[in-house]
Order: sequence, then structure tokens, then C-alpha cells
Amino acid sequence: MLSIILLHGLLALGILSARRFIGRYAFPVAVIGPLATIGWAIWRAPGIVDGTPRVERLEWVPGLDLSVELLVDGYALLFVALVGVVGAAIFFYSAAYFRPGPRVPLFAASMVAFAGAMLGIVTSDHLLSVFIFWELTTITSYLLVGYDDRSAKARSAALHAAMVTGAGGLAMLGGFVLLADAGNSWLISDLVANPPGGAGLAWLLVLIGAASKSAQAPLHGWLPGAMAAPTPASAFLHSATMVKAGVFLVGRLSPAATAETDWWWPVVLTIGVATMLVGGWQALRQTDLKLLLAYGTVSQLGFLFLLAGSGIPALAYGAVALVLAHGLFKSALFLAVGAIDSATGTRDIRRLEGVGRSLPWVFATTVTAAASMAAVPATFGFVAKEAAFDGLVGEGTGLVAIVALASVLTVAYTGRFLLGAFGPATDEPTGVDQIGGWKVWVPFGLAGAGLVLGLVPGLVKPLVESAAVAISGDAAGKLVVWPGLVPALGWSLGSLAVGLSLVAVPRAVDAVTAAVATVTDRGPSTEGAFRAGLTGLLGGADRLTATFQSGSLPTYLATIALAVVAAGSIPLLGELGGVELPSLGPAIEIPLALVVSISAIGLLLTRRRFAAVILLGGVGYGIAGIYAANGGPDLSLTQILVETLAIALFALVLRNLPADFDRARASIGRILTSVAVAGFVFVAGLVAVDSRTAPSVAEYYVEESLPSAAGKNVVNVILVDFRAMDTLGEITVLAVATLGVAALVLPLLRRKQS
Amino acid sequence: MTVLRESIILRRGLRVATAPLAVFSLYLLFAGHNRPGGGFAGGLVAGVAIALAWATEGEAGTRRLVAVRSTVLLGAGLAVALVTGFAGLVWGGAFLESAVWDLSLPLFGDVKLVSAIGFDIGVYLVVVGVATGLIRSLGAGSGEGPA
Amino acid sequence: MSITILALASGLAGLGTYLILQRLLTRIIIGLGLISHGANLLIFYASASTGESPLIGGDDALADPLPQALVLTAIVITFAVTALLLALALRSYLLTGTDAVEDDREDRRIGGAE
Repeated sequence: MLSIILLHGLLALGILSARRFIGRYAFPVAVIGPLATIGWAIWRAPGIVDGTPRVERLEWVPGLDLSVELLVDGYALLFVALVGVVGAAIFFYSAAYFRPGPRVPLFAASMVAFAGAMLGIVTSDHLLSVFIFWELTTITSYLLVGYDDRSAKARSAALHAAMVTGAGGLAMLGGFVLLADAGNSWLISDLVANPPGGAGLAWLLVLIGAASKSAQAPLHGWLPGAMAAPTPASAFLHSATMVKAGVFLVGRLSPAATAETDWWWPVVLTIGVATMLVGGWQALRQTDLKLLLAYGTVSQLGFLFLLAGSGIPALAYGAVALVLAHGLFKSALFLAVGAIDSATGTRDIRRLEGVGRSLPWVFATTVTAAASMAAVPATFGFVAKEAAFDGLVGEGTGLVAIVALASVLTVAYTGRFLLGAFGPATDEPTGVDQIGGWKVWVPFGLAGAGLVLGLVPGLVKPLVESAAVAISGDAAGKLVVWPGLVPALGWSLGSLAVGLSLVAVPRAVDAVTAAVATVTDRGPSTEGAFRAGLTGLLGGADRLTATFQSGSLPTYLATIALAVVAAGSIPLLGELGGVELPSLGPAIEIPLALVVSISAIGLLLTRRRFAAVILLGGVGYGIAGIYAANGGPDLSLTQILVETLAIALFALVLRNLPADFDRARASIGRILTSVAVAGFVFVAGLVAVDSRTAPSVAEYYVEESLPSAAGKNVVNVILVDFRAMDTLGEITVLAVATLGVAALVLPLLRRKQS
Repeated sequence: MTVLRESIILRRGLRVATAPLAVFSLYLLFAGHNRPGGGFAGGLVAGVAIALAWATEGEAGTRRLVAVRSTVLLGAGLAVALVTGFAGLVWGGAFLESAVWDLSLPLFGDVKLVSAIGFDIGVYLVVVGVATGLIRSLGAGSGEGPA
Repeated sequence: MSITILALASGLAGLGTYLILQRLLTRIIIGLGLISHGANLLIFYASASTGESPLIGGDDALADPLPQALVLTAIVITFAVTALLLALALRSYLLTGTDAVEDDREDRRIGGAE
């Protein structure tokens, strides 16, 4: 699998680097990726379906426990197959959809890179590689939504999508780190097998990330905006695959999450139901076919999120089947809309007329796929939804009733979609050009696959069952053409009937949605909330910069000092309990300390530069005495010599400067900052002395000094032998500083002299 | 510091002091492995001597003690330190690890020769170079010649 | 180690901070020197080891040599940094006639204050 992912990366790079002359061959080259994926899936499927996951491992940084770990079980295989099949179909379609142009290779490269990243998400067992691939899909989605980079709307939609899913991704990364820490492993398989307890925040953060990626309410606003992308990208990323990454992840983790928290299922249920209803309701109001499908996708994603996130085997089974069904019918519908768009030049349901007569195959495709979306019997959509309803019936009537209500909305917006696309126009109708080739046959094939599977679901039964077993340990459901007279059938046929009756009275539905909209539109829209949030963020950043970036060095230094004190104090003060004050040292220290203190205070007060130099010397010599009194003869010697040389250097420089210098007026801020730093150092010293947990490494140095380095002065042996590399670095710094001084002053002093 | 040049007695006295300082500096360098001292302390003592020489005789005084440009000392010191580091690689095992040779010399008796002393000599040369370079740079404008 | 050393370390760091928050480079350099002294004393203090000079041969317990080696390095590096800053102050004075640090106009412009 790793080689397949790498192949996608290489294809993307290859298309990019050959973009000037690859021309119309960009998509035929790109399709190698999905075809290889399909080949791999067919080759490996028998073993994986039998229950032996395919594991691949590549050490990366063993010391940091970083490795690439791929684990393809039945659940991952289902998504791999979906990415391969839908990807291949869409790449063929794209070859016909785009007129050759300079930017088309960029599109193809982004698409194939996305396909690779998506494969990475579903096959990675290591949380960090999941995150990396996750963000790669965010980036490729950004590039694809913003493909039409001269349109302000497309750029803004791309940014919106990237910000929401990117922020969600960061939350998820935080959750991953906490999870790995609590469970002591980065591997999803370990964490699911032995769920860590007490990681509530981690689960919440992961849930936020998954919800943002799968466009769950109230974060769903980016998905309709993302329809600014060219239709093939919308079909691939924003309906069939990328938006299912969140569903995929909650499906993987929900058994562990529901076992360890008691809020997970209620929260997922609330999010899912809200998303289903909001999406379905909004779809009923759209006049753009593509936007209608987008809101339909939001609604379906809510349903999938709810099923996959339940951690209940029977619902997980339905989720897996619906992922497959939705991938097939929704990509077929998107591609059909693309075909209609290119034949008529519009997607507006008020202006489309006569499309069915002129493009019978597109009509057949759309009706078949729409039937699957509405779960009409004899389609795979029906089979999958029956499996889901069958599970839901066991979870209580209230839950089924809510889902059935969402299904009524689904049937209603499906009817609106079909009537809008093929019914009479209410506005000035457009003409219809003839189209053919891949643009017609690819969606036809996808829709036809849904129909075939609806009649012979046994074809994918092993795949669906092994996927359900992989996440829930049980294949608690069945895929059947006709379930017999069970409660689930009643619910699904009932919602179909109610939905169809709504389709029959489109005017009444429009009136109701319009009436409700006059109220709901007064509230904040998701787009508006995002804009307001973005503006607030940028404005806040401006104000923050204006506050801190004052250009004044003292302000900067005070900020740094106070930040260090503030950040350091929190852990230090916690350690302060039980620390004892040290005793007074040898008597000789007292006069030395007095010399140091008086000199240092004098430094604050003096207005004469030379006096300051002498006082600084006093501080240094006093401290040298303290080193000598505490067993540090080398320190003492070095300090005295350095102090002497430093005085000489000060004298050399100050002879060029005026003899007096001004003392700044005392300021409260400066005094408080200084007191804070002094207090911080005092506390740090008290705590540091008390916190030794291991014996000093010095014991080793003292033992080894004579035998292995033939030296009795341990300090010197450390400098020239044990830690000689540090010393080498230090003398290099000294040499560089000397050259720097020469470069800074020599030219000026020579000029002054001459 | 120019005041030092105006008093002949001070000037003579300090000039005489530079010689014992130079000897002391070498003593510290070689004693440092077993007693307080070492390349840093030795080099700094030499630096003090150079500062005194500058104070009494100006740039020419520093030239009497250190005949070469400071950059020569800096380069030589770093080179010596690096070369002994690689000597450790050849004899001792790791980069900068000491090699110890036991020698029997006619006059001194049994002597342990440690490659680390070579490294310390490198440190010493760099520190002398730093002191020379800094004094000549910051003292420029009242003497003559390059640093 | 005695409380005297810790008190000195703390006091020198505080006084040094007071000096570096001013505008004359000479004072800033002196302040930095005080802070370095304070930091050196803090490292020395934090070793929490008392004993004879770390020279092998005696019978008594030795002081921890590692902090001494660290501080020795720090003393010499501080010397080099001081020299570099002195050169900067001198250059600033020779070029502008003062060694005061003025506000950075470009920074203010980026910050939006001007």
C-alpha cells in the first residue's frame, strides 16, 4: 500500500514538473494512480476479507518512536476501493470535462495528490501519519476549491474550507497527542484494543476534528461554499471521499470512545441529527443543482456520522453499507450535473428545460442515481438504508422517527432535484447542446453500479461485512434486496411515501420553506459567522501587534523579562512548599557580599562613566572572592583576570565617550520588573537546590579524571576532555566576536585619526 | 590609560612587570591540568600583560609581546585545538578524547603526556588572540598599524 | 551553599534588569554584566555542593566540578559579549554622537503605531 501512496505522490510531482508539455495527457497519466489502487485492492482483497489485515511498516526515526505504520483491514479496504473506483471514474470524466489549458495539469496533480493522501488517511495506523495525510487533504482541497483563482468567491470559499477543516485538524492533533500519551501508544490498533481511560478531553478534540472535516453542524458552512471547485473535484473530495474522513475516523474510534466516556454517543447523536435536518432543510431551498446536492451531502454526512459514531455494531454495519452507496450515487449525480452544466451552461433549476429529451442517457443516469439517493427499492441506496433502519429499530422508536423525518426531507429534495433538472422552466429556458463520450458514460456507469448492487448486493457483501467486523467485531446486519415485512421496511417505505407526497405539492413546500426562511435568515449564517470570526481574528492580531511592537528596546526587554518570570513562576511556586531556607555561609562571605552589593548599588546611582567601570570591577572581584571561599579556585582566578581585562576594554572605549552619562528617571514599571526578576531568581534558586533527583554526573568525572585523562584538576579536565566539544565551540565564538569587534570599530577609528 | 604613559616611573615599572606576567601565563597553561589554571586563565594573564603593554607603550608595546596579527593567533589556536581533537580520533577512539602516553625522559623521569594539553594550548592561543585583537581594535586611533 | 550567594544572585539580576531597561548602551552593557554575574552565582549556588576545590589528591569531599566548568565557560563568553557590545556602543557614538538606543521606526511602522 505504501508503494501505491508513493506512486500517487510521484504522479503528482511528475505532472507538475511536466505541466508545460503534458497537455491533454495529464488525466490519462493521473488515472494510473486510481487504477493501481483498484489493482492492489483486488489483489489483496481475498486475504483481507478473510480477516488477515495487511500490515506494512517502515522505520523512520526509531529513536523518536516515529514510523510509518500501515494497516489495511476490511474497513480500510472499503475506503481504499471507494477512492480507487470513484477516483478512476472521475479522472476519466475529467479528461473530457476540461478543455486543455495551462492550469489543467495543476488540477490533475492536486487531484492525484489528494487521492494519495486520502489513501494515507484510511490505511495509516500511526496517529501522526493520519494527521499528516489529513492536513494534506485539507491543502489539496484548498488548491482545488480555489482552482479558479481569478474568482474572489472561489478564493474566499477555499480559505473558509481550509480554515475550518485546518482548525479542526489542529484540535484533532491535540487530541491525538493526549490519546497517545494516555494510552502510551501512537497506534490506532493499540488504542482501540486497550482504550485509555481518563482521556475525555482527547476524545472531544478528536471529535471536533472529525466533525469539522465531515461538515457537521454547526461547522458545515464551508461545504456548500466549496462547490466553487470544478465539478469533478466536488464529486471526488466534497461528496465521495474527503468529507467521509471524519466519518471514517469516528467509525474507527467510536467503540473505544463509547466504552471510555458516557457523553460520546449522546453528543454524536445530537450533532448527527442536527446536521441531517439542517442539511435536508437547506437542500429544499436551493435553486442551484450543485448546491442542492451539496446540502444533500451535508444531510447524508450527518446520518453517516451518527451511525459510524455510535459504536453500536448494527449501526456501524449500516454506516459501512451507506458509505459505499452514497459514494456511488452522489458522485454519479455530481458528474451528471457537470454534464448538464456543460450542455446548457447553467445549473439553475428555474432555467433548465428539455434536458431529458435531448440527453436521454444523462436523464437515465440521473433518475437511477436519484432513486438510489431516495432509497427506492431495487437500488443499492435502498439496500444500505434498510440495513441502517434495521439497526436503528433496535435503538428505540424516537431515534428511528427522527431519521425517518430526515429521510422524508431526502426524498423531497431528490424530487426537487429531478423536477428542477428535467421539469419545465419557470424562467427563460436555455438551449441544450449535445454532449457525449466520458462525460455521459462515466456517471452512467457509476449510477448503473448502484443499480446492479441494488439487485445483487451479494457482490459487495463480503467487503461490507469484513469492514463492519473490523470496527465493531461483528457483522450485525444484512444486505438483502427485499427485507421481508419487518418494521424497518415500514419506516423506509413510509418515509418514501410521505416524501413523494411532498414532491407532489412543490408550491406548498416552497411556500413553507420561504415562510420559515424569513425567520431563520435573520439569525447568523455560518458563512457570516466565519467572516465575522476571521475579521475579529485579524483585527485582534493587528491590535496585539500594535501593542507589543512599539519599537522601544526597553519595552521589548521588559516584555521578555516579565514573560519569562510569568511562565516560569507557575511551576516554581507549586514546588515551593517544604523548601527550607539555606543557612549563612562562611564568615568571609559577609564582607565580600557587602563589597558586591555596595558596588552594584553604586552602579545604579553614578553619573560618571569611569566610576561605573571601577564599580563594575568591584562587583567582579567581590564575586571572585566568593568563588574562592566556596571551593572554586579556577573560577576565582578566571573571574579576576576577566574583570581586569574587561576594565581595560571599558577604559579603551570610554575614553572616546563623554565622561558623564545621564541617569534615567526612576519609573515604577522598571522597578517592578526588576523586583519581579530578582524574586524569580531567588525562588528558582531555592527550588533548584531542592530538586535533584539523580546523583550528579560529576561523580563520574571525578572518578575518571585521573585514570582516563591523566589530570588532577577536574574542572580543567572537563573543559579540555570530557566536554571539550563545548570548549571548541566556545573558543570559536570568542574568535568570531574578536573579528566582529575589529570589523565594527577599526574603520571608524582609523578614519577619525586621519 | 594615557596617564600611564606620562609618568616615566610607572611606565618603566609596568614594562618590567610584563615579563614575569608572560612567564606566569605559561606556567598556568601547563600547570592547569593538575592545579588551578589552564588555557583560559593562562591566556587571560597574557591578555593582562598585553593590556599593560598597550597602556605604557601603545600599539608598539603590544607588538613587542605579540609580533603577529591577532587573526594569526585565532586561526592557529583553532587549528591546534582541532588537530588534537582528531588526534584523539586516531589514538583515543573518539573525537576530542584524550590519548595518554607514558614517557621516560632522561632528565624529567617518568612523565605522562596527555593529548589534551595540545587542546589547551589551542585554547590558550585563541584567548591570547582575542585579548590582542580586542585591545588593538578598541585601542586603535591612538596608535598605528593594523590589528 | 549559603543564602548569601542566593541573595546576591537575586539582587544582581534585579539591579541588572533595572539597568538594561534604560536607553544608554553603556548602562545596558553594565546591566548585562550584572545579570551575568547573577546567573553565574545562581548556577554555582544550584549545584548545592560544598567541599574542597575539585583537585584530586586530598581526602575531603570535593565540590561539584561541573557547575564550575559551566560557570567558567560563561564568564569567558560574557567577556566576549561585553567586548562586542562595547564595540557597538563605540560605533554608535562615533556615527551618531550618542550611545543611546532610539526607538526602532520600522518596528513602529509595522506595529501600526505610526
